[in-house]
Amino acid sequence: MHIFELRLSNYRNYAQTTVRLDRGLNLFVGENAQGKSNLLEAIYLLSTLRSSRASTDADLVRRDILDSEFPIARLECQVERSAGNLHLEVAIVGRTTDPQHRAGKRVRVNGLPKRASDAVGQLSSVLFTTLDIDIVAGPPLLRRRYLDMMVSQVDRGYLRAMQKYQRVVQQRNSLLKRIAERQASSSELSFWDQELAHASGTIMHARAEALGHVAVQAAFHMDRLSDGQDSVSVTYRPSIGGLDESDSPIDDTEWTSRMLRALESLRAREIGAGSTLAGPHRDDFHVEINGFSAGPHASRAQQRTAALALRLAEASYLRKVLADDPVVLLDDVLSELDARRRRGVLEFLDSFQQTLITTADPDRVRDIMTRAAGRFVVQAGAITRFEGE
Amino acid sequence: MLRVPEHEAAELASAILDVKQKIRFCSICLNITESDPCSFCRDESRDAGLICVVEQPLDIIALDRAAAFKGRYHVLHGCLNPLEGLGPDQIHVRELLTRVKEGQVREVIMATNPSLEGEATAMYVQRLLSPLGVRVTRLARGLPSGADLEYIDDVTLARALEGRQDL
Ligand SMILES: [Zn+2]
Repeated sequence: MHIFELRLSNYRNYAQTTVRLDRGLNLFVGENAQGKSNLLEAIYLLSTLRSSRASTDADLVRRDILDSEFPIARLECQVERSAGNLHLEVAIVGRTTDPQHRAGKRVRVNGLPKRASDAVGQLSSVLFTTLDIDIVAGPPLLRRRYLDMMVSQVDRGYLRAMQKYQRVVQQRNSLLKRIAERQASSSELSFWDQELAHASGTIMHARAEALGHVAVQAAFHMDRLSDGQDSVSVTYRPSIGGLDESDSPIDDTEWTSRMLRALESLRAREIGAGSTLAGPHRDDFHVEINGFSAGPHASRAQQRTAALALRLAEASYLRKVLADDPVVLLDDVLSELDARRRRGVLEFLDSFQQTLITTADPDRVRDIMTRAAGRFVVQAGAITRFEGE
Repeated sequence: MLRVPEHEAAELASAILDVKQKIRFCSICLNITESDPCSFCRDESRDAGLICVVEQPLDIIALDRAAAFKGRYHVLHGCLNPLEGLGPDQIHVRELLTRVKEGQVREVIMATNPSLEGEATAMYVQRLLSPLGVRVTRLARGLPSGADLEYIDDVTLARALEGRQDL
C-alpha cells in the first residue's frame, strides 16, 4: 500500500498542512525540532491509533489551540491498498470541559465512524527509530511492545484478546488480594482462570507464530547487513516456560491448557503475591548475537544492526500476512549507519511500495538523495517539496 | 433549578421524599417496589418455577417489555467485580440460593449483562446451584458483548431468551 495524500491540522507543531507523497522513496530534510519526527509519528498514529512516543492526547494537539474552544487535532490520509482504497480520518480531542463530550480519539474509515480498536491496521506501517536498539538491549516490556504493535496490526482477534486479557488480569489481581485478606474464597478464581487462559492461548499462539517468521527474517537480514560477520537468533520465551526446541508447533488450545496448568502450580504463590505471576504480560523473547545474549555481550554497533534486522523482519512479516506492503517509516536511523549497512537497508526497502525517510544531515546521506522519488524540506511545521540538489 | 418557582420546587421535593419513603426492596426477588411483595411476585399467572436473574431492576423493565418471559425475577443488584470489591456476599446471591432450596424452581435463567463481569457472575451462580439439581441456563449468545441489557432492543432480547442454553 502507499499513502498518496496526508493532511494534518492542529497536530503537534503543524497548524495546517497537506502533503502529496510519491510511491517509492520520500526523503524529508530538516533541522531538529522542525516537525520531521512528528510527521512520521502522525502516520504511525493513523496506523496504530497510538502515539509512538507514549504521549497523552493533549500532547498531540497543537499547543496554541489547546486552550481554545475546539482543542482538536485532525489527521487524515488517502491510501491506495490492494484491499481497496482507504480514506482514514482521526480526530484527537485534547481536552474537554463539557461533560457531554469526551476527550480522546474519533476515527472514520471511508467516512464511517469506527471504534479506534477496529481501525488499527487499516493503514499498515512499520516505524524505525533510533530508540529501536532498546528492543535488543532493553527490558522485556519493549520486546513485548514490539510484538504487540506488529501482530495487532494484522490480527483483530489478537487485539481483542489483549484487551480482554488486561481486564481479566486486573480483576484477577484484585480477587487474589481479597483471597489473601480472607475476604474472598479461592473457589471464585475458576472463572477468571478460564478467561485468563483462553485469552493467553490466543495471544501466545499468535506471538509464537509471528516470532517464528521474525526469527528467520531477522537472521537473514543480520547476515546480509553485517556481510556474514554477525548472526542473530530470536527465540520466544513465554513466561510459563516449557517451550521445548523439539516441540512441534502448538495450537492455541494447547497453549490454553499449558497456561491453566501453570496457574494451578502457581496458586499459592499468586495468592501470597496478590498478583498474576504468569501469562503474556510476563513473556519475553531472547535475542542472541553470535550465540550470546545480546544485552550484555554485544557491541552497540551489533545491537543496532540486530534492531534494524528486527524491524526489517517486522516489515516482511506484515507484508506476508497482509499480502500487501506496509508503509515503511525511517526516523533519522540511517545517518548513524555506515554506507554499507545503509545500502543494505535501502536495497531491501526498494521492494516496498513506499518508504518515508527523515534526516537532519543530508550531506551524510547523499546516496539517498539520488534514490529519492520525492524530496521535501521540513521547517517550522511547514513541508515543501523541492527539486534539484 | 434556580428558575423553578418556589412552590413547584417544594412540590418536587415532597414528591422525591414520597418516593423515597414508599420505595423498598421486594422481600422475595429484591426488585424495587412500592408494595411488598412486588407485582411480579404476586402475579399468580407467572410461572414460579422459572426465575430470570438480572443485575439491576431496570433490566426487568427491558425483559418484560420484550414480553417473551412469563416467569419470575431475581435482582442481584450488581455483578461479581473484584476491582470494585464486589464478591458473592456483596450481591444478592444468598437470597437466590434460598429461593431455589425451597424446591419449586425448575430453571434459573442467568440474564446478567454480556460483559466479562456478567459472565463471571453467571458461571458462579451455575456452580452454586447445579448441585441442587436445578437447570441453569444463559441468555443466548449474539447479544452484543459489553452492552447493557437495558439498551438492547426487544427483538434481540426475545430471541436471546428463546435461544437460551444450558450452562
Ligand atoms: Zn418481587
